[in-house]
Amino acid sequence: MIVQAKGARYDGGWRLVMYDAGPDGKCSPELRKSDMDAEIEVYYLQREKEFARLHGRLFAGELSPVGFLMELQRLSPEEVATRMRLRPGVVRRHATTAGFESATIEILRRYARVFDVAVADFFHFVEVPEDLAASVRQGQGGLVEHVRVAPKTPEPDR
Amino acid sequence: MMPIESYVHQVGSHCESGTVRNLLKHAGVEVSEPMVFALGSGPAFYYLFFVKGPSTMPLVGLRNTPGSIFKRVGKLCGVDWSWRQFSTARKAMAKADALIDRGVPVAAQVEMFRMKYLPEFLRVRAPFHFIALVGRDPTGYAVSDPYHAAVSRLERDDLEAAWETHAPMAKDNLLVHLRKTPKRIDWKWAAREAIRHSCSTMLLPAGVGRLFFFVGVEGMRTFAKQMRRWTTRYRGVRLREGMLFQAVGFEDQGTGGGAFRLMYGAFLQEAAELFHSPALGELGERYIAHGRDWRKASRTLVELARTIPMEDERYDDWHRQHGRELSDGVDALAGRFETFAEVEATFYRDLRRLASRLR
Repeated sequence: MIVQAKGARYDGGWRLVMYDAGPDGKCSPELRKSDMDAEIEVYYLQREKEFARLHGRLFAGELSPVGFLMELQRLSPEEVATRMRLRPGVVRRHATTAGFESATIEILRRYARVFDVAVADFFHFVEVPEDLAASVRQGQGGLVEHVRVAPKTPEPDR
Repeated sequence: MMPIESYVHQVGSHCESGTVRNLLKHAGVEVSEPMVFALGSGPAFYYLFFVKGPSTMPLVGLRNTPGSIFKRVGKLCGVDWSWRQFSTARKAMAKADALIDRGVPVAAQVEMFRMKYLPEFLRVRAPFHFIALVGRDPTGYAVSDPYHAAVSRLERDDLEAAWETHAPMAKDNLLVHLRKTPKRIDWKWAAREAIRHSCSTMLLPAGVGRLFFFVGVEGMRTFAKQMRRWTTRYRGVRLREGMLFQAVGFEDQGTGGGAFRLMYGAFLQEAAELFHSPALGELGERYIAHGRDWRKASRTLVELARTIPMEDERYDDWHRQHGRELSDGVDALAGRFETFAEVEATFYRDLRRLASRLR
């Protein structure tokens, strides 16, 4: 899994269609910022904290990579089980370090599809410093991954 | 990638009403989003105490079930939709490809999580999002999503995963396209029927209301009652996120603000012109004022939630000092939602009386 040292941030550009009455009393749509725009940045900060907390549990052996992604994406074992067409008990077992070892590559492929990661992402984290960028090429349906880390190309002058 | 010629993308408040409006417009039917929303669903209130939301608080539904806008617009306007759920996403994509190649845009119900053109905070695990596929190349699709400013690109793999999720309650591989529009639509009849339907959704008969205490105006009363228990039932980050999530649900999740009440007010103003009814216009203004009050209450909810610390470890200390202020604030807000329930009970009774006289 590729992890940028400086996590994703909100660029403040989100607009949505909201209705309100104008001075003439007529209610019409307007494309504008959300009232909760300030909370969006908080969302990213909380995600970063949550990632760090779960990463700690993963490396302490309290969670398997399946459990890590399940908690990170706030999915319950029941929901993952429905999506995977497995029994919830099986998913709970795969969420533990011991149970994870019994998962076949075919099962991992299905988990990878649910979590939108590559199978290779279950086994490593690549931390990319702020001044570098990573590009990923996947093969065999996400089973193997080639990660290229290189200096960021400067954005062209506008 | 070029979208279908003559397809005009327009943003919308809500994904389903926006998609229906865009598809109808492509077929030559000019209609506003508030009209589509009112014909297809109208405001509703479901306090789904048996479904936990992403924040662990029960979910609140503010409109009728996903897909109902397509179905009811079809029924009330005589629009012939082809509505088909395929066994696999690949089969649905093959059908979509054939239709797009013939210049027919298609609607799909997908999971937002895979809509990678949207910012990350919007990409939630909700397999009820409507988009229109309006162009394609061998590796991807041109997507007209009412939540996004422009037609965007979506890779085939992402569409396949978003279309076939096997998630609970998802309508996997659902493809809808327009077969035929009528020569003439009786907008007056459609609007009157839609108003009657909205009134009956919000005002259940007394006996039924006791049984379905979580639906309509009764649901609003139940929600307000449960709100008073939030500060004892939840704590820390869960309480903070739960409160914020309720406010986001009322305002930002495709409602147009004020839990769809403002958009419905816009519809009532439009309908007042259609029927030349000043009385309907006045009701529209009343409902818009109510929607604005709802928006203010959502803002208060956000302000209260923001006072709660973001770390569970800090919550107990914080609660000892500020717990009273929080529970007083939540109590006051619950009182406002009880008032909203009474406002809506009176409003829908008045609207139902007026609808029977509209010609």
